[in-house]
Amino acid sequence: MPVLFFLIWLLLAGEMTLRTCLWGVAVSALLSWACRKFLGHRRRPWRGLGEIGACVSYLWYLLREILKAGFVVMRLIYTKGAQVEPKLIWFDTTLRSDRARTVLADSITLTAGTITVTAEDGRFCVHALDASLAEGIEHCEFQRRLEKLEA
Amino acid sequence: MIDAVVTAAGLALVLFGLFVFFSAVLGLYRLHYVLDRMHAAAVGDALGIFCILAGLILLHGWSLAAAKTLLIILFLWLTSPVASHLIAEMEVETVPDIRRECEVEER
Repeated sequence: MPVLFFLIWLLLAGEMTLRTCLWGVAVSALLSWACRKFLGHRRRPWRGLGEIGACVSYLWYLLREILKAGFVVMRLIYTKGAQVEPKLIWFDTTLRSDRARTVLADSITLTAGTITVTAEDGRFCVHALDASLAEGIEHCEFQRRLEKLEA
Repeated sequence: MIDAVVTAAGLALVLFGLFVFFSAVLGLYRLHYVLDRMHAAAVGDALGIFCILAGLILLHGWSLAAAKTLLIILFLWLTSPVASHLIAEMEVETVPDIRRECEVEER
């Protein structure tokens, strides 16, 4: 976490001098402390490079899905317009940790055409623009990949 | 030669991003219910912003500004789902009868 803050600080500062580095270290230490104290951030045990690889592959898959969903919704706007069949679906997720559930809810919302309305205690409520977008949402690829990450 | 290709790709991306935003605005008019319209807006948020900012990165070339632009995409993609989730939740909680607006299915 502090390393991430420091990198963002360096990127925003735009120069590598002793002064910016020292300020960066101070600010990132302060922010990490605030995250632990007030936001309840806890460091997870290190689980090797495989996990980072899985995260990167998840992000890559998410990026492709976001772009694909954008095209699908654009086509719906042009072809169906007001004739779309919106749907509100309640389903249970098999994910157990809050972290994985949050990522799943965010991923569903980021892909255009589906919005997570509520996500409480593993029960998700998702609004889909068209019934075709809602098919098989409770077994979507996001969930499968997150399950693997969680295990 | 490569410069020309990169500039052309950047221009194409920016123009396509504009088209995406045009479709998003058109969607706001063509769809009739809040929750449906939010999907149209989400297209602009996700695909439109990505295309325009990626096009700007290509036009500007790789530099510190480009890295900051990537950071902008990242922050927008982190914050926009939270905002749309809250708006959607508020709408579903407060609308008198959601079943009149759309089909509800429990799985």
